[in-house]
Amino acid sequence: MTESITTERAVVDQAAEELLERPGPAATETPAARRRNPLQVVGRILAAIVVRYWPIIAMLIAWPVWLWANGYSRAVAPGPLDVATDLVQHPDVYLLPVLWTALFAIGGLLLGMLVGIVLGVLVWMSPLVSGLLLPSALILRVVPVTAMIPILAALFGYGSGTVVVMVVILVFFPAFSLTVSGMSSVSQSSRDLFAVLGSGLAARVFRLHLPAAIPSIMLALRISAPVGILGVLLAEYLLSGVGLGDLLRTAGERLEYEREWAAALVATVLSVICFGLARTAERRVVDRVT
Amino acid sequence: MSSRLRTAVYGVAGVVVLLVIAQIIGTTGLLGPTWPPITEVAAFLFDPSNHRLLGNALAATVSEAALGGLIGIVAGIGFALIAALLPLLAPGLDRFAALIDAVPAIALAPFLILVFGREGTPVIIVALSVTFIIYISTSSGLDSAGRPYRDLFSVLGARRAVRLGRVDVPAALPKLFDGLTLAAPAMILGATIGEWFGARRGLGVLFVSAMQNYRIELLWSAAVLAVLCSLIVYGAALLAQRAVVRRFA
Repeated sequence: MTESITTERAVVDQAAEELLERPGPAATETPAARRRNPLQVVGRILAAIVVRYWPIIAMLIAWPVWLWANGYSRAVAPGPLDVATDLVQHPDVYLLPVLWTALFAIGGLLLGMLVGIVLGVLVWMSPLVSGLLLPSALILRVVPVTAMIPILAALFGYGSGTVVVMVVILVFFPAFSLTVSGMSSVSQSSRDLFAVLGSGLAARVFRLHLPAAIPSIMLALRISAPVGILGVLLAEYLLSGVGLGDLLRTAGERLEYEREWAAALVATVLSVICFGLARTAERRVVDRVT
Repeated sequence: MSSRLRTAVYGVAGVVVLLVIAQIIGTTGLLGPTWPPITEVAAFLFDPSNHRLLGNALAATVSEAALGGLIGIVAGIGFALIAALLPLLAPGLDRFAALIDAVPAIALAPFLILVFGREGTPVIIVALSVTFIIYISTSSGLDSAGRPYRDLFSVLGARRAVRLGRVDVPAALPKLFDGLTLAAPAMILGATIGEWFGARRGLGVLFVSAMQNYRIELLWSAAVLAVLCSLIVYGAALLAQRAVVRRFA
């Protein structure tokens, strides 16, 4: 059950990736079709873009139309242009919060991974301890981050330290449980070989079991990246005076809607980038070790 | 002792150890006054004078999660069927789903509040995250039927919709229920995130107000309720998934 709640997420991610790679209608074009005039080439590229991104295009069109139809003024709901203008005219407002959020997210992510892996190795050595700890870790996992942040704030104060502690707690669980399951996945024949050669515990951990766990550990990183970003944004929104979450809140409170929406857009882009980086890192590392 | 029984015994023992440690931290004040003994949290939860406050919040969050979950399940299955019946629309839907998943819920809040209001936002945040999970799991399930079955139906001249109903949908059910077990914790989380943006009632509101007013027992009780809810929904989804897998896989 503990493993399933982390790996199910991975199954959905995997399925999403496979869907993204399924061949679209554009894959049927022949080499002969490619030698037509440039207008047709442009048309085909446009068609490919529409086929892939039509929901996003539809939303970008629906947004101003919907504002206009409801008679909202720019003071209530900014259009795409207002948001873009604020982004271009005041990049300095966004730069520092982006850096803070990225720093907290990446720092917390790495620290949480480290804690999870170290604990995972220690726990793996004892079936009793891992049997005792895994269900408790599952309960920690189900605590909604919206409840975790206020509790941690009450414990550790409203500062940036609390944000880091929270990301570490969020990230530690997948790393921990996937390290344990990855280390346990070593085949019996490999274990026998190491036993026959009389290798010590350190050799078994660092030469056999930990390398075998690397794909699982990278999977944990990929699962955690979006969770970590969301956690940092939520914690910044509620607690600390820095970062994109804070910018979202203060802009909302001052009724600066262009800024609020632009901050939301920047947060989205940052999240998508982290998502992509974690996915690429996983693929590269797993390709290397397997 | 069978390994399954041993796992269960270890698990129960582990939870007991966790509770005992939490209790010791609380009674000794090791982490300060904001870590209460577990017995005090339990006393707060069982005190009838708190039931109205907690009950209202719980009812609000659960109904948002249930409504949003329902919308999400219907929308997710609907979009997956659309993508299966009209392959031209599929690449766009796949990418849009991936984008929706990567967008942090908090970033959507300003937009959602404007469109759906402060009370509707939690429902929509739940619906969005559930839609993504269900869409992906259903789509990959619809793709999972064995090639021979599909070829057989094509050879016999079945229309796409018939093949979908007879082959692909039954094959997709186990994956769909896999998705449901994953959606369970996401539902409570999504509802409480939505409640942070000005909802009047709900566990999410309670977390923040209890923190700001330094009502530590209330904060912990609300957190315990949220965890129990997530675990119950997860457990129910898991049982349903097991039953479906036994029948269809």
